[in-house]
Amino acid sequence: MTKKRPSIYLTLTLITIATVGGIMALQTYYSSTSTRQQMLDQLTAGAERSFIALAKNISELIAAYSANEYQRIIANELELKNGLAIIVDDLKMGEVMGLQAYRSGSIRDADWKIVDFDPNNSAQKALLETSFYSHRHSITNDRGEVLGWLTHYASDRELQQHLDALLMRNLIDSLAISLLLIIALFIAIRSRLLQPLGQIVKALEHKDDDGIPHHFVPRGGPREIALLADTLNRMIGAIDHSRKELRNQHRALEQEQERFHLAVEGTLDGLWDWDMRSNHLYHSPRFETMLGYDPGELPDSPEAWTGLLPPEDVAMTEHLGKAYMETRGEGIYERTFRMRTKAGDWRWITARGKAVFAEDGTPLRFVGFHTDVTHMIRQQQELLEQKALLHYQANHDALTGLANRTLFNDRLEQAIVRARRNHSKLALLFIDLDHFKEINDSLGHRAGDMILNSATQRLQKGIRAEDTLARLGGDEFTVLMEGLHQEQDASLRAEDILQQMARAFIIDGHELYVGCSIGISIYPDNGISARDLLKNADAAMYKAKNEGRNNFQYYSAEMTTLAFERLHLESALRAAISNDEFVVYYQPQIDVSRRQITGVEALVRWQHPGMGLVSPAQFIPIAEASGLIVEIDRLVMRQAMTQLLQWRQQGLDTGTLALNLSVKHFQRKDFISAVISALVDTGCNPEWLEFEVTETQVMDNPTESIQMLHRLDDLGISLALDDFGTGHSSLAYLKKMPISKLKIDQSFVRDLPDDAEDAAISKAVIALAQSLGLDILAEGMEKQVQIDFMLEHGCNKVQGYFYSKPLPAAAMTEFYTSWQGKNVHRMFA
Amino acid sequence: MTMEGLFRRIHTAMIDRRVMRFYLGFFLLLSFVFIPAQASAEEPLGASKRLAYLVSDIRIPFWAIMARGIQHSAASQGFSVEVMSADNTAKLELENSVKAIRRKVDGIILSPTNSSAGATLLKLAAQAKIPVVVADIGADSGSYVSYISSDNAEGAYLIGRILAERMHDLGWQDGRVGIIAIPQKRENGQARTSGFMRALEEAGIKGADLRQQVDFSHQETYRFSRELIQAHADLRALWLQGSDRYQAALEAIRDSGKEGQILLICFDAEPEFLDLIPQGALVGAAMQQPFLMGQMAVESLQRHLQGEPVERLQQLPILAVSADNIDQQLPLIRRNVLGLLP
Repeated sequence: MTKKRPSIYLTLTLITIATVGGIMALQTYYSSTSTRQQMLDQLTAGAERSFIALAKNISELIAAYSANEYQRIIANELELKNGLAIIVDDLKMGEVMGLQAYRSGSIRDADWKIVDFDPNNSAQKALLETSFYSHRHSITNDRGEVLGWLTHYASDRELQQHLDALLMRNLIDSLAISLLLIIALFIAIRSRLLQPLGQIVKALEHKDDDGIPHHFVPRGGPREIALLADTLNRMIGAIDHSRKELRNQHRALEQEQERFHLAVEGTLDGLWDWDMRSNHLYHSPRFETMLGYDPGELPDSPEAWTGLLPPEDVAMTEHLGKAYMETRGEGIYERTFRMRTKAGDWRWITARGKAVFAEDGTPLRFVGFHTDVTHMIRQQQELLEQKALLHYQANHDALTGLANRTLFNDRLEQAIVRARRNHSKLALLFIDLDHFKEINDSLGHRAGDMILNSATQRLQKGIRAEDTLARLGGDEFTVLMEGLHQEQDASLRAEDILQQMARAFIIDGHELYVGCSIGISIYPDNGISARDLLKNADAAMYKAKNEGRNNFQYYSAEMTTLAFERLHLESALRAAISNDEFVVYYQPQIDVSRRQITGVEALVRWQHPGMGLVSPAQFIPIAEASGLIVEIDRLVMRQAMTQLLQWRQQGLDTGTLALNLSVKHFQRKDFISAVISALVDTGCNPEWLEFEVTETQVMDNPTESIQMLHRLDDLGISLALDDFGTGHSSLAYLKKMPISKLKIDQSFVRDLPDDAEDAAISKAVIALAQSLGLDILAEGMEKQVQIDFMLEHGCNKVQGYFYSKPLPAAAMTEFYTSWQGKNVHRMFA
Repeated sequence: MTMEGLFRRIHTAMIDRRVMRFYLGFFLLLSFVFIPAQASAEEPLGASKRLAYLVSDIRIPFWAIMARGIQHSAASQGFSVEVMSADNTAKLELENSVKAIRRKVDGIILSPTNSSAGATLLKLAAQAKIPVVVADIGADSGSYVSYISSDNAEGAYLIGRILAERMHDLGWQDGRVGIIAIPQKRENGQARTSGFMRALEEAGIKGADLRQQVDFSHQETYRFSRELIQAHADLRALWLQGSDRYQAALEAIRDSGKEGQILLICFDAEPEFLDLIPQGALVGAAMQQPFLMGQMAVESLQRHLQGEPVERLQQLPILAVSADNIDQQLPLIRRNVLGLLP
């Protein structure tokens, strides 16, 4: 192979010739180019100077149309400058001749004689195009106006002749110098470089089977070759030394391996070694015995290893393994997991290992130890359980298991933060058992503890699941109520608690009456810190004690009054249901354009024996809050449906019966069956009915409400969305609701048509109903202008005092009759 | 010479000189006003050849008369001719040339504003392959069919001899002759001076001094004349190489108090000369023959167009007129100098 390569002698020869030849060629080229450029610069500079003067000289002749005069001057100038041609583009003459410019001048012919320039002579044109230099100069008059152009063309004839001679001379010089240089270099290289190198090569040829020379090489020649000889000699020495070292290392390695094997066999940990190229997993016998297997019993595949993991851990273990590989073995891989033993129970194993990677990032090998950490893990779990127990004890009352003062304070503070953020209210009930001390003193602490436990159970029944009940100590309990709609809602809870606690406690055969006093403070009305709320609830509690115990008091007297009123009204409502004190009134719904009664809306009225007619605004919210509204609605529904059938039997054209429906109904499981039984019992056709639901209520729980509305729709009952515009319906929900009618709330109608905002809202609601294909009805019509407004904007159906206030059934019967009479009269009028 | 004498002399021609002067003035007016219109009236019919006469300034009588000679000759040859005056401006002259070349006339007669402009016009015509005959004022270079000019040297020589004879007759042969010359850069100026000086030398009369006209104004001629008279006490004659400023020279002689002591002789002719020469106010004048020159130009072109050879240079004799020969020369003067046809 090496013999086919050219010798250093030949290589140096070629390099020398090429280098010297190349440099000389470059030098010749550079010299010619710079000489040419120099000559060219002289020529152009001279030409430009003389042409400025020439242009000035002939400008007057051009202005005077003296073409012949300037042509003579140009011919002389050309003769003088030895140029190729001078051409004048005379704009003045051109203008007269209808040309862009009159082109004339002087040019050399083939014999280098000056002749007149003829623009039509193609040979002259070709000559100009091949000119090697041209310069154009404008001809201007004194005022700076351009009269024409003067163009000088130069031939490279003389320049070329001069350069040819120069090039020839340079070439001969270069060749001679090159030859001398090459010969001198040859002699020097041969004696100074090649001979010492040859001696080194000769010494290297005497070598052993591994190609290592037997002897050191001779040292001679210039510094680099001597250095080469030194280096070679050092290398020969070093190789010899390395061979001896390698033999020593081999022996050490053998000892090391022996030590490692002994260690692996002696340790409690199991070794694993995963060759990722062959996918072969080695594990030491210790790993197998760790899991109750005999050595060699487990297959040596990673799949077999994975099979020992709990199935739910496999995916995570594989994921973490991959994640470690993606880090290219950064740090140590460590994971603790369970593995099934041969007997089928589980051991906690920690795997620690490290991977080796190829340069391209491919993992090659993954090696580590398995350690049985079952014992340690169990200890940790016990520790955690103890910690949780301590935490629980620190936050809970040991006797009742309720939150203690610490936990309650913490929850109260958190609740205050939430209420502040949501702009909601919360109530704190401070409960003190009324006769606990006497019982404790007379019957002993055990009985006292039993009372406290029973009281705890009763209190838990009296509160909502989301409320927090705590025992602060002794016979003091607190209840935290969040998400309060009205302050009075807390009184309902207090009332429940009072009732629960009023019943006798049976302790060791004793019938004991304990009772309690409750103080209520409201955030933010009675304090904005946990401390203030608690202090004020405590103060209210003492007020309750002073009021004769077994009652509740708000921190503020007004709230207490309102709460009692409400409680009174609620109990009156319950009585009203059983006493049948509710009466149904009817308000007609009119289609103005067709002059027709399209229906009546059934409205409940409460005829209280003492209070007289109670306003719906007064009792409906309480009925809603207490859930009594469902009973009331059902009564109204039946009463109205019976009345409707009566009217129809009388032959009256009643239209639809609109019934208000609280969404509270939807929470009753028997709602649909109650509707069906009312239909069956009264004999009403579902198509005659229309249920009105309020937008606000529906949007409180849209998904459930819409589902219920669909069931009503399936029965064939029409649905209307009441008070539309006062809530915040999503259009998406609106589309999903099976409603057929929108009612414009009277609050938007009251100031029509003067209030621009109300007018805009009404128009928008009408447009929305039209675009969704819904019927539309406006409530609260009191004036003709309001009706005109609605008609003008496409709402024909209205309801309100303008036509009639809500009427009792008998009056409504009269209204029907007289309306039909009017219509008949109008028909025949 | 009295008015009666003059009357008698021209009687043979049946024309009163006053009548003739009237005609001359009238003709000049006519030529000035009507020549372009007349030319356009002579637009070619059928295959008749069309010529263009490019003239430096038709307002100058000499050129107007030559134009008439051209038109006269062209009419008889069946040519139409368009006279295009440059009004002595280079631009208009160039425009006229371009116009003629564009119209593809069959031949051009050229009296350029100067010989240099003539060279340019000849070049343009040569490029359009239109034959050109140059009349009176030559061209610096260029190719043409023929160049017709007056034999200035011979004319000057003849007039020089007339002056010399007159000075001998008066016994003033020792007196000197001052020359108010046209620019000697001009070929005709040189020819006139050399011809005249040859005649003086032959007669042994010495020349005094030579002043070259620059602006050809009345005032300039008057000044030059006064300077020559004042500088040379023995000055006996002034030779004016032109004709139109003769009045200035006469005034200078009179104002110098040398009336009757210094003779005046001119080159070229003015209508007044027909009176002044017989009266003796002028010794004589060398008269060119513009009408004849025009005729010859047309004939030369016609020969060339027919393929006949034409002499490249043609020189016309100049009439040397003195009181002694004015009667014999009158028919020639009327026709060839003044362009008046019987």
